[in-house]
Amino acid sequence: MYNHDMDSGLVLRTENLSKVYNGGYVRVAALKSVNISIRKGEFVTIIGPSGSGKSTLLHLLGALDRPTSGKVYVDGIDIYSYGDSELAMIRNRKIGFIFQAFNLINRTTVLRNVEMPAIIAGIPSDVRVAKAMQLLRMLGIEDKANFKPISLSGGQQQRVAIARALINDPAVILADEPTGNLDSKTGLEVIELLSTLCTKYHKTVVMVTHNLEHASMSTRSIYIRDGMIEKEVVYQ
Amino acid sequence: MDAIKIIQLAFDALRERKVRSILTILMVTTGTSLLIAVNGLTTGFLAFADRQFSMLAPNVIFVSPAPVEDSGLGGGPPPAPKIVLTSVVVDKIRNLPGVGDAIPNYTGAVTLESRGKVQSVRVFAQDATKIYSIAPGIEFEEGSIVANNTSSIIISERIARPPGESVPFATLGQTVVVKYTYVDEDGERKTNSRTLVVRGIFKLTGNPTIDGAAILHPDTANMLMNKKSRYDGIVVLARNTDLVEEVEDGIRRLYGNDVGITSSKVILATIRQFIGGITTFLFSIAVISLVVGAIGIITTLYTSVLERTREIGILKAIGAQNRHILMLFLMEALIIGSIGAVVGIPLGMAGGDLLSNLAPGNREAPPEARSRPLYTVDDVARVCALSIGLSAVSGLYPSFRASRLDPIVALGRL
Repeated sequence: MYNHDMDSGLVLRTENLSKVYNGGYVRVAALKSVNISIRKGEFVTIIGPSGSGKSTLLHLLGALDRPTSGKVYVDGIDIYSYGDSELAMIRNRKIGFIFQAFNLINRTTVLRNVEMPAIIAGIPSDVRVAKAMQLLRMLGIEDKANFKPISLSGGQQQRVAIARALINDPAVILADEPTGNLDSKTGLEVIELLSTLCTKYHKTVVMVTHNLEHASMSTRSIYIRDGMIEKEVVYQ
Repeated sequence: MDAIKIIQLAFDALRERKVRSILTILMVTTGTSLLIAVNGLTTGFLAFADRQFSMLAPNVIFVSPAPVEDSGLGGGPPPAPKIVLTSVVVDKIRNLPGVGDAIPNYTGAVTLESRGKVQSVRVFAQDATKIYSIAPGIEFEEGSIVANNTSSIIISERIARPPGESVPFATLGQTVVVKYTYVDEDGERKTNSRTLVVRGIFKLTGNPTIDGAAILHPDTANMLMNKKSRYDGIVVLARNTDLVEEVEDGIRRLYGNDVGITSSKVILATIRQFIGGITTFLFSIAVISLVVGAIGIITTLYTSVLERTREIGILKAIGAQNRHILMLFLMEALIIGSIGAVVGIPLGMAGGDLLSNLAPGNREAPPEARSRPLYTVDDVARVCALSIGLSAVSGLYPSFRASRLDPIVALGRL
């Protein structure tokens, strides 16, 4: 099948994306017909007040939830046309997640945490260990490979999470307020790192943030309010 | 995700909650070891009973005077038996259809004196040449003469060479003094004694009653024990095993309930039935214990699912499918069950052996007459499969719950 998105360099695209939560007698429209397009190598930030729908958007972009209506295309694939198992595979191969709370598995080592998506993907041990070590080296925490995440600083833990997000070479990295648990200096370092991933390694990053300074370091900001796109700002 | 990685991850998860995992494994271990011990002890005891009765020919029927009923007044001498087993009774039984032979016997306890030592032994007085018809498996030491001789005595290997004694009590060809003490009609205490030649020594059979007995000629026993030609019992041999019931019916028609009739077949069946009942009871307790272990697994895994909700969310976010999560938790249940079974089996065997050694009857019996637990490969495999299977079943619900967790809800549990 002809893949128009791939040809036009679009990694992520939504088509009238809507999400309504039914909570008993109350219906909350978290997203209302959102249309966005993100190209390969872009660093896009999503900004909005609490309850604006930015996390819902990120979850839908990341195949973690199903929309009420509309479509999400990742690398030109209409992801919600697939079942739960295929959706899990899309999360594994096409999407890398970075969370505010790092979300690492603390009983196991840094290396095993980074390897985990590759383990799920069934990548052979030698290949995935080499790739994990390469990423840890790139992120400057190679010497922490056999440490437990809990023994690392916040910044180092977030680097582990970034390495984990990159291991399967995903089409897009989704970061949900990745600096929320870090001090300003370390937070800035993480944003610089994400920016470098886009500029140097041509990765695509979509980040939810409250921090306008951090947003200004991205290539484009999408402002969301009441479940709708309010405006877009492109930075030079 | 391959099976080896799932096993590794499951091990990691169990290691993280060491104490809880160990306690759950202990529950399964207890159930498994109880099952193994009960199974082993029962199988061993059944084999022991079979061994004991395999000495007896299957066509053997024991006839004795019926047990006398209590007068209900208490005290006083017991009433006389309703039947006196005389040679006339023996002949009548011998002439019944289906009867091959009727061998009368006297029984009693005597003392044997030899080489300055004394032993109390049980006497079984009957035609010695017919011993093979009753106990075909009996074996005699070389040089033994199994003949019907009034001046002979045949003793067991244990009487001849008592355990722990360096010097034999008696050897073939030597004489022993047999003494019997009783009180006569005039109230006089009397002791009869005879000097007899040891003509035969039979090898241990494993039956403590037989292995502690001596065989005398009936006439000798009649005189010695003042039996007045009143037999204590008659061993009736049916022509073949199929005729046992017919012969029993014939005897019953002749003497009704005045005689007690039993056969090796019936005794063995009764013992088996009795052991079967006890086993069912003990087995139920052991299974309940294993079920408690299974509930422990459910509790442990369910708690683990609650505690690891966020981890499940992370795994799902990075691409784990429901079946991966299901297998991960199921593997934890299987590991608990497998370790419980692997540890429980030898522990149960050791426990069974210990219980067997501590049992008073067993402790005092010579080694060849002890009931030993018997662990068959089939039984062990069955218990192992039950332990692991039950653990897997217990793990199903928590694993299913874990696999169905919504990743967003799971990740929200921060």
